[in-house]
Formats: sequence, C-alpha cells, structure tokens
Amino acid sequence: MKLELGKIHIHDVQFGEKTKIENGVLYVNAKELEAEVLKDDRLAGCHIEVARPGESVRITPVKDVIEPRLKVEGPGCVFPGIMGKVTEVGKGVTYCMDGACVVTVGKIVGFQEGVIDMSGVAADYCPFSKTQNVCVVMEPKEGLETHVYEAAGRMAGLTAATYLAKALKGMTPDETITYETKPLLEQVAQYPDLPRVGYIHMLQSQGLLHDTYYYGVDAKQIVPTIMYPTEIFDGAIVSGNCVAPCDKVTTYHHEHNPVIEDLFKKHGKTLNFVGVVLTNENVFLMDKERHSDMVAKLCEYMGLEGALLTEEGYGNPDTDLMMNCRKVTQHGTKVVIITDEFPGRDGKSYSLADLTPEADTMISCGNGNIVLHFPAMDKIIGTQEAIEMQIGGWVGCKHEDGSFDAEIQIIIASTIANGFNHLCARQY
Amino acid sequence: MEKRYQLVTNNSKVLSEYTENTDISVDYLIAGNFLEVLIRVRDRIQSGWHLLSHPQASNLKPNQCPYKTILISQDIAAESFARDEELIELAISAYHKFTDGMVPPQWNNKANEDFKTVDLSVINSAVNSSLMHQMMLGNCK
Repeated sequence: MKLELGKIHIHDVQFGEKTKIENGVLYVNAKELEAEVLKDDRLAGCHIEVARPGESVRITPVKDVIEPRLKVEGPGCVFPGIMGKVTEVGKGVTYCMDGACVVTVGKIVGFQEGVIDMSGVAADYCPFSKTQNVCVVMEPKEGLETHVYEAAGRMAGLTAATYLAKALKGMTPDETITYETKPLLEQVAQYPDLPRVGYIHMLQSQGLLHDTYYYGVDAKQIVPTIMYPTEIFDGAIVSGNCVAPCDKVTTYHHEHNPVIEDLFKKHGKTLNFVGVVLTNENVFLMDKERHSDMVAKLCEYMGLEGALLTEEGYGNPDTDLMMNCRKVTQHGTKVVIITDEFPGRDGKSYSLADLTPEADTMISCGNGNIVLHFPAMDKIIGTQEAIEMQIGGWVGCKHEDGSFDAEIQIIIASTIANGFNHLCARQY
Repeated sequence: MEKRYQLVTNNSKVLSEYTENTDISVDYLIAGNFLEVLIRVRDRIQSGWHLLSHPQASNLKPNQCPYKTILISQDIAAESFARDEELIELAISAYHKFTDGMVPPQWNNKANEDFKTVDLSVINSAVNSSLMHQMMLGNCK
C-alpha cells in the first residue's frame, strides 16, 4: 500500500469571510463552521475561537485534537466508517494541514480534563502549544445523557476537521512524503538483509471516555488484526475522547503516530518495517489472555525479529502491555516497550501497574506526577472554573490571580505513552 | 441457587443496573470507599472466588475517582490463584501510591454522578464482553 502525504504548511489562523488557505494562513468562516457543527441537534450551542502559539491563552477542558486531512486521490475518505463509507484507506494521495488543528472544548463529565497552555512553562509539555488551533467550544442540550454527549462531541470535532479540510482542495503541497508498505512476502524480499521489525499498537478500549474506533468499529469489539501503516495517516483510527488527559492519544496523535513515522524514516536503511499489529485493552481478563495470544501469533506469523510496543492509559492496559511483551518474546520476537510512568511524586514507587521478567527493554515517556506552576493567562477558551476537580489538580491548587499548581498529568498528552513528546528518563 | 458471578462495588448506579440480574449478584458496599472494594475482593479471592475483570480498570487512578467495581466468579477462573492474588495486591499497592500523603480531592454532586456513570460503563464493557455473554448463556465450559 502506497500513500503520498502532501503537507500544506500553516503558520497562522484568522477568521475570514471564506474558509480557505492563502499564503500559509488558514482563514475560517466561523459562522459556517458553527452551522456545520450544529447540524447535530444533540448540541445546544457551539462557538469557534482561535489560539495561536505564544499567545497568553489557556484552552480547557480539552476533549480531542484533530488535524484536518483530505483524500485527494485513491479510495475512501479520511475517517472512514465515520465521516464516510468504510472503504479501505491508506493508498493514493492525501493532503494535510500541517500546523493546524481542531480542538474540541467543553464539559462532557463533571470532572473535566485536559489543559493546553499556548505559552509559559506548561506549553513545553504539550505539542498543541505549537499549532494554530481552531477551538470548537460546545454546549450540550440540557439533560443530554453522557454517552450521547460524548458521541456528539466526537462528531463535532471530526465534522469540523472535515469541513476545514475542504480548504486543502486544489492546493499544492509544500512538502510530500511517500510511504509504502508492500504485502508481507514482497516486503520481506525487498530488504532481505535488514531486520524485520513491526509495531504492536494497543488501542484503549474500556468504556465511556476510554474508547477508540478503527474504521468506525469500537475497539472493544475487535480481535487483534494487521494494519498497513498508511491506513492510520488517513484517519482509520479515531479517539473516543478523553479521560485522564496526560496519556490521551488524541486523534491527532493517531494521524501522526510517532512510532509509525519514525519506523518509516528508518525503513530500508537500518530496518525493514513490515507492518502494524493492532490490539485492544479490554477489562475482561479472558479477553486479555485471548488477545495477547493472538498478538504473539501474528508477530510469529509475520516473522518479526523485533517489535515496538505501545499502549494508551495506565493500570488495566499495563497488564495487556506485560502479557503482550511476555508472549511475543516467548514466541521469538524481541520487544521494546515505550510507555509513560506514574512512580508517585517522589519517583520511588513502581511506575507501572504490572510486571513481567520479559519487560527488560523500555523507553520512558516521563513521570505524570511532576508538579508545575501554571501562570495566569490573559484569555481562557472554555472554562477553568473546575481546575481543582480536574485530574492533576487538587483543592486549593487555584490562586486568585488565575494561576494554579497541578501535576503535569492535567496537560493533554503531556506524557503520552507512544513517545510523541520530549520527556524521557535516563539511568545513571 | 447462588449466582455464579458477582459485582463488588461502592457505586449505587451499578447496584441499580444489576439488582435484578439473574446471573450476577451485587455486593454493594454502601459506605465503602475505593480501597474497601479492593480489600473485599481480596477477601473473596482468598475464599476461592476468581477475578474476571481487571481491578485497575479505567484510566481514572485511585485518587481521581471515588468508585470502583470489580467482576468476580465463584467457579470460573480467567487466571491462576497466584495471579489473582498478584493483581489485587498490585491494585491495593497502586491505591496507596496514589493516595498516601495526598490531600483528598472534593467533587460536587454532578462530578460524583459522572464518576458513577464512567465506572458503570467500564464494568459494563466487561459484562458485555462477547465471551462473558456466552458464559452467562451457558455456552462455554
């Protein structure tokens, strides 16, 4: 499967009469975008705000972040099974708005989650302090049931991204990257002297605000399967919104999966990137046994010599992480785990919720318990009234001047366990 | 006849949802906290019950959510006794890691109701698992 990803660089976002891209600036007709989002009558209201890097702006509570992308050539559409038919994607040509994001903002549950600071010390912990953000601030209809509101919020973000992506039509990319993965035997034959490496990608699948979708299928309902890496660039995997923001894999992070992007950079040079094994993180223990057996079987069947392994979440998924690591290793594939840690504020407790002797090679994405002082901002998109209830906050953490103290786990994707950010740990 | 499956919980929404279920009983710790649910499950395991759901399900860590629900069975085991013991002890140790020495959070009623909704949804994902459904129908050994 071969995909050309054309990047149109965006360095500014402005409101305008027509939604378009001109000279690297995304212009947004806010009224049109609001009307598009409000076609969903589960929402009572929505308004659009913009946030740019370096501004004294805080966005909270953040639900999801999505990069607008447009299928230009080839079958299917971006976000297949949700924004269009389930037709297989990952081939042809896709354009993306590189440097611009849709951010969905609004309460889904009483305890809120997810902060993005566009400047100041907390900005360094979040990739979205560096993107031009079109914020869709939502209000649900009165009395809307929580699951229904989550779905409406999810659709609002994807609808907004799909609407904005139309501005990519007819553009000329500033940069194009070609990605190709051949069918297994051809791929192995292409680089016979390079080690066969794969990526085991665990999808969050535990229930409300813990779900992920593959071609629109709830990941709780899948059994492990193989994915061509380029499918993910066309939005085949979508986030089901967010609880516990710091290790949230947003839809943006799926579109920009760093393990897949980096494996492609090394593909044909130091390794042969053979493909992706997708699996889930169900809370039913027998599902974990069955699915970790299947992951190990697929790795063995694909003849992988090595595999990178990532998860989303803490606790329950750590058991899947260890079971996958153990069984894949025992089946003959070396495993490297990439994950974040929660060793407590003093860093002295076990970082993960489970263990296995085979988990001897791990890359850390940082400690979610570190405390930061978040400075006051000139503008809040959304509301920070519930900061003390948000994950990472505590009673008394908010100050009168609008600043607050909190653990970095309050920041969306700050310790994301697929290695997207810059936090790590070193052993001396 | 005693039911084969049980939900140990301090979540009143779980009690409401499952109180009339023909296959699953509810051990409702009316004033119990998160830790007490874990300890009750540990006691059950010691008495021969088996874990069917992960004790650390949900991304909400022990100091981030007041409710916990765990699915257990009298006679169907997913794991060995030693592994069940290990999983529940890891859960109890994680509880202490996240809460010892910390100021307990305070949530309003709306937040508490939302926590119950998420906890119920997470345990429903275990009960609604395809295999569990077949087990309750008596279609598995």
